[in-house]
Amino acid sequence: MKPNDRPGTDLLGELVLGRRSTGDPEVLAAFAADPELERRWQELSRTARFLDAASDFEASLFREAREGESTPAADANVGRVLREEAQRPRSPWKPWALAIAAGLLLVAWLAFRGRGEPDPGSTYLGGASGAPLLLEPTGTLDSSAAPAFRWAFVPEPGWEGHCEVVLYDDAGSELLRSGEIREPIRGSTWEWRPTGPTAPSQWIDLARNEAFFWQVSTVSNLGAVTSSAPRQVFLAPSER
Amino acid sequence: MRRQLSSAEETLVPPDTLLVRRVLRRDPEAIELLIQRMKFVPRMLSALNARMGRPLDEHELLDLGQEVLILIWKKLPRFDGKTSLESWGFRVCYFCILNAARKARHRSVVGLGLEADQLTGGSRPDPWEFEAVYHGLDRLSPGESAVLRLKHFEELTFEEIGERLSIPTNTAKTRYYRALCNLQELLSAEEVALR
Repeated sequence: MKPNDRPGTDLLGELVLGRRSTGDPEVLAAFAADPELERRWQELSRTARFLDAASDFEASLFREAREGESTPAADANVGRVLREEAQRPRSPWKPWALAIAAGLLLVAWLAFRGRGEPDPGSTYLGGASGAPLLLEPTGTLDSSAAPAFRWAFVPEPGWEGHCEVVLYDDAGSELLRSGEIREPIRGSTWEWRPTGPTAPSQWIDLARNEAFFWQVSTVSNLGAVTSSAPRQVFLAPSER
Repeated sequence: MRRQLSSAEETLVPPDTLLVRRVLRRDPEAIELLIQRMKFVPRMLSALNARMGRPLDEHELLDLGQEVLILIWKKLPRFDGKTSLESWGFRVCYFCILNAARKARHRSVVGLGLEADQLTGGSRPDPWEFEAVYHGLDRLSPGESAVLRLKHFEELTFEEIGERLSIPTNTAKTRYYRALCNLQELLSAEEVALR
């Protein structure tokens, strides 16, 4: 065995590669002396068996697919779709060029947004009103606790009214509604966290959905409603 | 600048990689060949759908087939030739139908209080079970993932893997062992119940 900075690694490697099955006395003795080595070997063997099971699964599906009935409509679809894609003009934009352009746009937007942010506690001055800008949550959520939903909204001077958050599923059914929110938490940033009568039971029900959408609307006292574009929220896979 | 491959080097390139290169150059003959090969997509989707207890109806399956083909077309430049086009396409089919089935399940089954394991019938392997292993393979480095696939999915020996990847046999063994350790850690992190 070669020396190694991780004791047991070479030995385990040798075993995973099959020396144990040959009954090599040196290997068997080393294993008998070290229960940790045995435990690690069992883990790796299980992983290898899992890979074999995935392979069998894939092979059986290929068999079923080969033996499956011919579907002329689906076959025709294959030709139509791929020929259409092949005839589509190729974009002169390379992915890296698009990424750089998107990065520059983001930097410009952040700079512009920072400049327009009113001081905390000030009255709402300047900035265009219009659709509220959704800030958080934007990505994967831990479903064990209700998250804070944050958005930015800078009303026109003299505007009076409230914001509302609505959560709904991908079929457009409403899941949860915030009620009237009249005060920002700071500057132009507003927040709603499902609490009180809507949580935690409703939040837990909601968290069972793998993904849902949220949208903020501003409702002026004169009845004018402006809504953000809906945005999807994903839950952590381990929490589903 | 990328140099042109000599004809001797071209012979070392897997045939599916050559086919994909010709398709990307819009060679009409290669495109027709690809169409013939990709006819496995609707059949594979249909087989997967049957395994999952038919969460998608005929029209949804046809729409999904179209989505999968467009996705395959977009991903073609990233095809690395480590597996056949069909094995590579299978992964796209698999993830797409799982996502579509989740949406369908969300619409119709979760509301009735049924669990995922009730969606599948019989004792055949449950398609949902292998999601973690495929995700894990995708998260490994391409070299490690290729060795695991060649060893377990194509059942090659280490000598054959070395030849296929142009690496010494011992390197193939070391890479296999390291890949298995890394995959095991990924699966443990996802708390997959290994069988």
